[in-house]
Amino acid sequence: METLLALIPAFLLAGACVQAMIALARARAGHHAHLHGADHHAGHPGDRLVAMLAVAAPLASLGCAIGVVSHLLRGGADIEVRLWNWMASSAFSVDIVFRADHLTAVMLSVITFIGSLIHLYSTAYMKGDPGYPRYFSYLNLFTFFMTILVMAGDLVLLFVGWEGVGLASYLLIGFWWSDAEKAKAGMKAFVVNRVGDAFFMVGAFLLWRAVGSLDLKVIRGFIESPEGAAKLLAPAGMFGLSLASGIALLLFMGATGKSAQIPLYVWLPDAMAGPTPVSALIHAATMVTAGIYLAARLNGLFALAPDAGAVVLVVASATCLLAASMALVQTDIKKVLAYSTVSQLGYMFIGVGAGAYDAGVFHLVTHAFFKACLFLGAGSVIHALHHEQDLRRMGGLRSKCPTTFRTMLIAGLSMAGVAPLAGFVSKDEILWKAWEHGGVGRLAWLLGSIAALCTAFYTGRLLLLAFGGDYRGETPKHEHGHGHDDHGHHAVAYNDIHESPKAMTLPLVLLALGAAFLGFIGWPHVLGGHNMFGQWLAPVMMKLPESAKAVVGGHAGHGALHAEWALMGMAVMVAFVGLGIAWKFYTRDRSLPGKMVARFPNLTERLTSLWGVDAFYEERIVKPLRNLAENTLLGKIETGVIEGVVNGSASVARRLASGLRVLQDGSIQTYLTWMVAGTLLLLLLLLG
Amino acid sequence: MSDLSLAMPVILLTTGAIAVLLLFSKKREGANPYPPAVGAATAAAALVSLQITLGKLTSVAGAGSSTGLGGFMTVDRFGVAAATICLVATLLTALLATDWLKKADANNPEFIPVLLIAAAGMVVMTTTGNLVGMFLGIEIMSVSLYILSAFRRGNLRSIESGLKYFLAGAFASGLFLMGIALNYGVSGGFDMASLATASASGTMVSKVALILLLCGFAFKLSLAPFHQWAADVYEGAPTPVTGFMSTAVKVAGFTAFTRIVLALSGTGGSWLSGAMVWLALLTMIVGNLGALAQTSVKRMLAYSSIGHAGYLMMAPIVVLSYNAASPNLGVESRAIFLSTDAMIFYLAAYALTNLLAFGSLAFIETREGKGLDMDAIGGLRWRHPVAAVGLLIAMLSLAGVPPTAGFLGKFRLFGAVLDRASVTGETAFYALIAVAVLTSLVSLGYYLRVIMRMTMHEPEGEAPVLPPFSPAWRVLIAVLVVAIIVLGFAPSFLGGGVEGVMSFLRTGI
Repeated sequence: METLLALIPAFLLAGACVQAMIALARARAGHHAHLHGADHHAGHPGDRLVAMLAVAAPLASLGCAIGVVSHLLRGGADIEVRLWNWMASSAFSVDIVFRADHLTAVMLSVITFIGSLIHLYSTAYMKGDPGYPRYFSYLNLFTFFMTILVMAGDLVLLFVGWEGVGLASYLLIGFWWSDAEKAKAGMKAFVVNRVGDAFFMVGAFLLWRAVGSLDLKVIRGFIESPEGAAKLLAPAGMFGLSLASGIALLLFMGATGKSAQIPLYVWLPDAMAGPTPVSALIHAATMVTAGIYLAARLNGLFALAPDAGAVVLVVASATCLLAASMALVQTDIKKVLAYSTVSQLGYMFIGVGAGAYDAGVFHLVTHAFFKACLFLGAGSVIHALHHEQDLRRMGGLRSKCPTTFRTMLIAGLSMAGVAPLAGFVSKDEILWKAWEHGGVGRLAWLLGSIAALCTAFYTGRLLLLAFGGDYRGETPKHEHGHGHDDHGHHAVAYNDIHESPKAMTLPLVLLALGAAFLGFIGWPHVLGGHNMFGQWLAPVMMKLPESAKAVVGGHAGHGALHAEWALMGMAVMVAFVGLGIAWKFYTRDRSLPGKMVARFPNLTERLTSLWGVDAFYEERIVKPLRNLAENTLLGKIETGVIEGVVNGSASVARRLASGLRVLQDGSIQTYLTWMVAGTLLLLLLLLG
Repeated sequence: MSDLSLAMPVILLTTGAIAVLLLFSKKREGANPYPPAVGAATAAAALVSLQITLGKLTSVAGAGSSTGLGGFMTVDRFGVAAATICLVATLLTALLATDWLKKADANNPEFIPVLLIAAAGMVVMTTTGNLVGMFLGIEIMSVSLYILSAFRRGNLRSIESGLKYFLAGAFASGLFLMGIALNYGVSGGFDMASLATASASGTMVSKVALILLLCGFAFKLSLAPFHQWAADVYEGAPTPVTGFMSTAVKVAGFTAFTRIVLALSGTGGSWLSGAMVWLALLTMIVGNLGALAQTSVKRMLAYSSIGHAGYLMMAPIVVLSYNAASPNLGVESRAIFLSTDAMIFYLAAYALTNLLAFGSLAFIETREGKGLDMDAIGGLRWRHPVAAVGLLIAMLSLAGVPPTAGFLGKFRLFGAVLDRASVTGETAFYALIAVAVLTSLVSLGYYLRVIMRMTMHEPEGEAPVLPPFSPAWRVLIAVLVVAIIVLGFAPSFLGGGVEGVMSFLRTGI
């Protein structure tokens, strides 16, 4: 069993290395030396082998993951592999440890299964791309780091996975690096994530100070012990927070980066610049859910911190609604899905905030399926239309891409919350738990429900615009704002549109099946189910000692049965109303969207400008920082030096040439003046 | 331990230098592969003799250090660890410079001897417990480096670099020497204990002495506002020399400085730490913001190295905060252990990383014969994948992205400071951590820009066709890449030797 677990990342790492070597060898051979944006290329003769190797790695890992899951299903104990000592000092020792328990098993299944499907899909989607092996090298590398993240036995190793997926994501977003727009998007994602990571590190450090170890097992033991819990509940001396709340908030702030919550969600929509399968794998199914995984992993810590939970609820529900509102007006098919992902991640965090970690993870799983399906479906559409991503130039694809249409319909309805599809079951459980939580939970329920209405609407809009009505792509292209469809595509004639190849539709079908039926593994009690998923995760949930429970208070008690029925009924109604409005807008009366825009110009303006958040960051953070570096006093001194040197050197050269002394160059005198000033200043400061 | 075995590394290095001078200085034209090979072999021999000394050191029961040569040399694990990094950097510089030395205007056999002499100065700096010895070491190292900076005699930039370095360095040496003299006046000694005596006396003169020493080091370590020479010198110096300067010099300088601070800690020298905190904060900010505004890769790396010096400065600050009156001395000595251990690891990681970066850059410069502005590395991925991979890993490690060595270094160093912050509760430490974290976020901006440039197509023009390059260089780059990743992910794999050196302080100082 141990070997099996260690093999999961090993296969992926090996795959990444082999692909990287092929890529390097090809670059050496100069095969791609002069490719200038030629995106439809015959492909390299070795691409078939590359594709086979690429899919083999995650498939082998999937096999091992199945072994691990079946071991746990048979009631086996958690698996632990201790590989080697990473860093040792008298105060701090970290081993490289992998562990697999029930939560890890769930994550591993999702990652390797969906990962395999997306690798398969990519073999067709990326066909002919000059960087074929490089792409798969990054994709394997990403999956490798993702498995490290969920298998890590301690927080430092988890952080390596956490950063590693960010790195791979950076590489993949900027995959078509020949254009600056995409490279910038990758950089934005990386930098924003690192802001979150700084909080993560500080939180982890405080945890280490309290526990004395970052081993997750030790941390769990600490939280479950009365002394440990008492220590964490003691006030930390900042803002009247307990230590547990402080740590939980810091870790949550770390998670807002990776899992795209307010205020750090801005990178995710831009990350859509990457290839579509990457969006499906990284920016929907796996990486962005790392924050939820972290919270579920440290559930006892969050349970000890009800005030942090309240913050999580507010932030998550606000993100959920804000992002859903932004998705309403997006015209880029991938952007709709991107904002939708931010919104759905908000739901998962509502589950975390309400203490329903299993519900959060359950939504993570169902979302992985329906959102991956939607993204891959969008990719299939984009593929069919030769890189057209604008919804306004689609339409009527229903008969041309039947499999894509059917699978996206199922996944879309699942996301919109149509019973009894998977998305409905998991979302409903979260909203119910939020309601049951009481207090801020009720607010979260309200915002979440409004967001659900928006969800149903934008899903319906997306499906109707892409597949319903008539094809609008043949009309001459108008000037429009967004600059992502820069592949120089020309309109595709309706008759030339074809369904994507098998390698792309097979993953769609499998994912759609999951989006439809996965709900049954977490079927709620109220509908006669047993919530097997919740029971499966029960061993992962930490049991707080009684003394700690007395302080933080237990759950508010189970809500009434009829309330659950009523809320569920309402949720179904919300879904149908949302879909109905979309139908009305985009099928019955096409003039309605225009009328709405005319009627509420301010609101439309706000929505299309994304409530001004991105502009705010650009104006208030990025630009001032650049200013500071370039234009302020400090910057002037430093850049003044540059100019001084460039000009100075030239003049020095001239003076040397004419036999003058180099000593007359002013800059060295300036430096010495600074040094004298510094010395005098220190003397004055310290002796005065 | 005999005096001879203590001095052996220095003897070997100078012998090697003289041997190269005598054997090869006649041949002044054309490629000459022997000096670099002899230089690398000498550095390796010095390394071995150093490790033998270390072995003797540990075999003496309970002895943490050994003093010899009339108190001139004090060999302990701290110094040996630092000297090891310096010698590895020397060895790698000799190898990485091979290619560059083949260029007509640089192929003078004096390069390697001067490099070896500089290394000898560094060994003296790191393994001496005597202020005069330290000064001698600094001067031997610095004078060699002035020559190396101006080594391309036909190149105005290079000459300008050497001259500026010399002028600023002479000034700093004056400060340093004045500090030693004043300290002698107060305490009547040159050893580390004399510093403690002088500091405990609390007189004005002893304080001035310490401030002058601090200023002298601030120059050597390029701490703001003593940093401005660094950008010009780094840019103008031949690229392999810049790599050497930005790594080995930092290692030797920080080690020597920390030795002085160690002597001061617990003797009432803590009044100095306020100034050190300000220097560190200013250095982090100036270095990182300065790097953000650069258009030349070499200049950017110069500012980046200033920023790193700011981070490293946090370690001596923690050491100085040692409180001898604390009821819990275990916690206090743990702080010293954690911070110095982190500092040595950081220096090792930084040395490997920067050598990789400059090694890749030197190659590009040699092959393409043009400057190293951002455009020069545009589309490097296509033109030269090996150099591109080298630069990529170097940038990630400098930015502190796991699983590279740079990440583990930052993790340990920042962790040590955070640990101290939470023990003492002093705002200064929280401020240091906050600025360190924020500026390392900013640093991502310029490191990623290099990666972006390398991996983007050059829009216009044909990619220049590069002549084939030596397999040895490729192997060297690959070794450095692997070493940086292994050091970041599995330092224990490097075997007991390195980990043994890394844990030099485990027995306590």
